[in-house]
Order: sequence, then structure tokens, then C-alpha cells
Amino acid sequence: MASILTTSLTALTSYQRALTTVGHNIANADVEGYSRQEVMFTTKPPTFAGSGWIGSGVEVSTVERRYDEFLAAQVRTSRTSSGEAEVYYTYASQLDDLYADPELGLDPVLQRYFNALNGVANDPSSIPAREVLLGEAEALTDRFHFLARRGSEIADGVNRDIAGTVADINTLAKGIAELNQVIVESGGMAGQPPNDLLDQRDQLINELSSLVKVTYYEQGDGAVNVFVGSGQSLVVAGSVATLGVGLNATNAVIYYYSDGARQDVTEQMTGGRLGGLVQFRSQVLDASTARLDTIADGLATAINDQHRLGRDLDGAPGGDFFTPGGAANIQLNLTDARQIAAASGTLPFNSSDNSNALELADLQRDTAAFGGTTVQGAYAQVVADVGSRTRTAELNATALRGLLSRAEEAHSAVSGVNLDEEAAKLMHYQQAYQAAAQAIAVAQKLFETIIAAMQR
Amino acid sequence: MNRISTHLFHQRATASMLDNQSRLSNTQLQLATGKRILRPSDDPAGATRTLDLQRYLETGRQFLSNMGFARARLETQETALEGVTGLLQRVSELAVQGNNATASQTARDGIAAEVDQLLEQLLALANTRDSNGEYLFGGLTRDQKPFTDSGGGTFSYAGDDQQRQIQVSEDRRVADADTGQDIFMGSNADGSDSAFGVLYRLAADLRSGADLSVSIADIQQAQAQVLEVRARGGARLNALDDLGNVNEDLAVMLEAQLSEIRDLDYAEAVSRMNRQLLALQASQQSYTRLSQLSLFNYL
Repeated sequence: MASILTTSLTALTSYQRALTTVGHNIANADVEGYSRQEVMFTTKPPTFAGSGWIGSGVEVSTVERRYDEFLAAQVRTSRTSSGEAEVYYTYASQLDDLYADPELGLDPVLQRYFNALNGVANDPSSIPAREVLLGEAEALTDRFHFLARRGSEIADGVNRDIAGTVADINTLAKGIAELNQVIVESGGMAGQPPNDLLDQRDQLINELSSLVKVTYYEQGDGAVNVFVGSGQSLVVAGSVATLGVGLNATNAVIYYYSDGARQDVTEQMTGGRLGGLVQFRSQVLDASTARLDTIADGLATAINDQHRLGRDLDGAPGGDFFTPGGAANIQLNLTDARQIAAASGTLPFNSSDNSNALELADLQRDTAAFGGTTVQGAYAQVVADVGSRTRTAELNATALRGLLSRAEEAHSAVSGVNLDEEAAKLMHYQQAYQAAAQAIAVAQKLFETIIAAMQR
Repeated sequence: MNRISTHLFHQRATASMLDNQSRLSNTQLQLATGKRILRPSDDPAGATRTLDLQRYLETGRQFLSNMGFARARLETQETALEGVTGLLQRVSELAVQGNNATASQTARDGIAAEVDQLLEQLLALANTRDSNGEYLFGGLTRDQKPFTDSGGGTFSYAGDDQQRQIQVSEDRRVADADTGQDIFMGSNADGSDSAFGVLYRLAADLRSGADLSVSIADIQQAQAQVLEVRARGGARLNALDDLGNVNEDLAVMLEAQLSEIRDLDYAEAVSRMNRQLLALQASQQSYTRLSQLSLFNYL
């Protein structure tokens, strides 16, 4: 039978729980992925006392996690696109920085090389003019090497980053699988949602979604199955598949291991950091490396072809000026300034003949080797391409950061802890607790009244 | 009800301050370097245009330098041929003097001796070297003396009939000298009807007392041949001057364009920096004020 004592006691314990939960919210206010919790009160079933139903107090029906699945899914989608755009932009701007300094680029050395060819044409028998040309040719091959080396350093960075990201994905997958098990077990025991465990698992999925595109399905028992990229199953209940990284020539390849077999899924890993890395590599890095190689080889071939038509200072037929081998391996083949074939190969030989040097210098304006543009034009296209891709990537990254920020705001409007609100609840529940305690004091007074009456 | 999570509030405030700072630092870098485009991505089209303009400028400078070579040699040629013209003029006067019926054989011998001297001088002028020590009138063969006296009124030409071209603009080449063949030689390969042969025969005819009217005509012919070459050389020098002027005007224009694309507008950048400073200060101050507000202060 209900009494003021028992009724107030239910209030005391209920508000104590509520205060504990407020404290929990305050404690976790800064924890990433924490969703604020709210105690749900319900009135206890009344008892019938002949004259009517007497209330028997209050109880906590559940502790609710403020969480909106739709908003959370929006945050994850945004994290996937934003993660992809951010890493793409970061790496593109590294390449952008490489081409930023005009003194570091290819253009000034190309210009000086052709200027030196003009110098030889102006004065074909001058050894100093020929030495200048060899020096500038050496500087040109050095610059090709430098650009190729920076490119491969960036490629190494991408490879390491892919390996690191894959390792992170595997760790997160393991964490999700472990939490799946615990959640299934605890869900089975109490029938009440294990809010903090759910938060932890959701946070792991959040983190996973910035690394790669994620799809997930909640199962009836509370476990979540996770698929990445274009549908590779990563977590199924308590078990995980693993991703691995191998090297194909110089590029990191992503493997998917399942049932003892491995499968190349590099192209399937879209979205997120991993997708961004793969995209950057194929769209920007590999493309600019290939174009630099084309420029190096195109130039070497065009110069060599013309150079072989001429004769050197001693009347011998011109040999190869450069040894082609892409930007990384183009070498100067000539070793002596006398070997520069400035003289024509068809006219009677004379050391003051500059006809072939003129033709060599004219290759600066030749457009046959580079599909309608000059060698310097082809290089300018590489710069423009990297520049505009970086610019697009930057705009993309900024826009997607904005979207993510709005999605997070919407999500945190529901799930986030506001300390002022918690302070208000703290005061509110404290008052309620004090009131319940006062009611118990009244119960005690009533009891004392009866004791005193009996003593008389 | 619009709730704001405290965590997010702090995060957003910090993020916006960081954003303001990074914009400010970019502007500061622009001001420090004086450049509007710090990376190609700041303005991809502008960056390519900068490369193009720099290339035009550099190539233009190279053409100016090439023109310098061509001009120096054409001027050397003009000086030499001016000497040749004067020399032939003197020869022509001497021939007329010698041809005068009143001229005694002694006088004719004296004239012949002067013509011999002038022939030596003419050979020296025809073997003029440029500042590099190369023989200017050998065509492409400039490492050996083009003209030698082979004796008996014959003169050999060791040069060729090719002109050395100098690239003076994208699509224009200019010969830096005319060939000895064009200037001095006639149609006989042994040089007997060259300018030198004409002088040799004049001296011989003076000594033998023969009539000089053929020689006088030949001298005029030789003079005309040299004048024609000089006119061509002069036209080339004029063309070089024109091209040089165009090139320099173009360079000034290209510099201006380059500066417009590449260089920073300081007034704009400074006012932008002031705006950004203000924004950063505002976000710092508002954050300090707002973050002090808490209900916990009243508990």
C-alpha cells in the first residue's frame, strides 16, 4: 500500500538517476560521438484503495539516447565526400606548390636551353657558346630529374597514406565487430538500449565513413553489418574481413581478403580518404607524371632527330643530343662541346655553318611533337591542369566542409550536449529531489506525531 | 527549438578563427612577395598566361640578342663595302685620268702603281674579318681567307654561295653578311672578271698603253655590283631597326600585361588585410564574451 514515504522514495531514486544522467551528460559534453541522454519518467501504477486510485509515485522507464538515424546518416555521407575532397586537395596542393615557383618549374630552363641554341646559331664556331649550350642542357635534364623525383616522393606519400588508411579501416572494423558482440549480448540481457555502447559503435562507423564509403544495415539482434567501397562486406556481426596493401610497380594496390582469396579492389574503394587518395593518384599525379615524361621524351626525340641531320665542329655526323628515358632518366648524351652539330649535313661542311643550329633553335616553336603545341606550351598545360584541378579540389573541399558542418550542426542539435541546458536540468532535478526529501521529512513528522500520541 | 551543442559551439568558434587566420596569412604572404598568384591554383588561367608572357618576353630578348649579332656583322659589312665603294671611285677617277690622251706613259705607269696598291687594299677589304676573327665574306666558309691572288690576273674564291642566317623573329631570318661571290666575283670561276681582275687588267692596260674604255666600263660594273649589295645590306639593317623597335615596344606591353596578371594590387590587398584583421578580432572578441556566459556561473 502506497504511503507518502514510499511515494517520495520513488521520487528520490528517480531524481537521483536523473541527476546522475545529467552528470553523465556534463562529463561527456566534449566526447566526440556522444549523444545526450535523457531520463524518461513514468508514473507508477496506482493502487486501489476503495475510495479511489491512490498514486504510488514515479519511476524511470528508460534512459533515452537522443539520436536521429537520418541525421546521423547525413553526417556520414558528408564525411565520406568531405574526407575524399580534403585528402585530394591536400595532395593536389603539394603538386601545385611544386609548380608554384617559376624558378623551380621547367619553363625557365627550357627557355635558357633554347636561348643557348640561338647563341650557338649566332656564333657556330664559338666554343664558349657551345659550352653554354651543354651547361644549359645539363640544367634542363637536372630539372626534369628534380620534377620527376618530387613526383615520386608525392607518390610515396600517397602509398604510405593508403597503407595507413587501410590499417585504420581494419582497426575500426575490428572495433565495430567487437562492439557488435557486446551490444548483442547486453541487448539480450536487459531489453534496454545500451546507449553508450551504441554511441561508441556509431562513432566508429562515423570514423570509418571519413576513410571510405560505407553502407551498413542494422540487424534484428542489434548487430550492424558494414560494407565498404562498392559493396565489399567488412563486418558481418562479430566477424571481420580484412583489407591489405601491396605494391604494383610503384603504386600501392588495395587487396580485399576473404575466404583465403585476395582480390584487387583499388578501383572499388570509392569515397572517403581512401577513395580520395586513389582518385588523386589516377587523375592528377599519374597524369602529370605521364605528361612530364611525354615532354621529356618528345623533346629528346625532336632534338635528336634534328641533331643527327647535322655535323659537328669536326665535320662528323651529329649523334644523339639526349638519351631519352622519361623525365626521371633523360640524360645529356653529348660529352664535348665540339660534338654539337651546328653545321648542315647536306651542304659542304664548314665549321662556321650554323644551318642546323638554326633548325635546332627553331624546335622551340615546333608543334609536331606535342600535338599542336610547343614544348613550353605542353608544360604550361601541365601547370594549368594541376592548377585548375587543385582549384576545383579546393572549392569542392570547402563546399563539402560546409555541407558536413551543416549536417553536423543538425545532428548535434538533436544529440549534442548543451551545458546551459544541463545546468537548468541540474537545478530543476535538484529542486525536485529537495522537494521529495521534504516530503520524507513530513512522513517522519507524521510518524513522530503518532509515536508521541502513543507515549501519552 | 533550436539547440546548439556546447562542444560544437567551441569547435565552430575555433574553426572560424583558424579560417580567418589562414586567410590573413595568405594576404600577408601576397603582400610580402608582391605577387597576386602564389600558386597556379590561385588563378590557373593567370598562371598559364604568366608562363606564356614570360616566354614571349624571354624569346623576344633572345631575338634582340640575335639581332645584335646580325647588326654588328651587317655594320662591319657596310663599313667594308663603303671602303670598297670609295676605293672603286678612286680607281674609276684614275682610269679616266689614264685614259686621257694627254696622259704620258710615265704618268700612266704612276697611275698603274697606285692601282696596284688599291688592288692590295681591295683584297684586304674583301678578306675583312668580323669581331670573332671570322672572314665575313666567305658565305658559310668563314674559317679561311676567301680571296687570294693566284697570279696572272686570276683570283680564287675559297668561300661558297650560302649565306649565314640569323633568327631575328619567330618567322624571320636575316643573312648576317653577303657572300664574296655576290660582292666581288663575276661569271668566271678563275676570278679574271672579278673586281680584282678588273683592277689587275686596268693596271696592265695602263702599263701597255692600251685603250681603257673597256676597263672603265668594267669598273662601273663592279661599282654597281657593290652598290647593289650595299643597298640590300642597308635594307636588312633598316628591317632590323624596325624589328628591334617593334620588339622593344612589344616587351614594354608584355611587361605591363605580365605585371597586371602576376603582381599584387597593393591598395586592394592592404584594405583586404584590414578587413580580415577586423574579422579575426571580431571573432576572437565575440568568442571570449560568449564563452564566458554560462548558467553554471549562477549555480
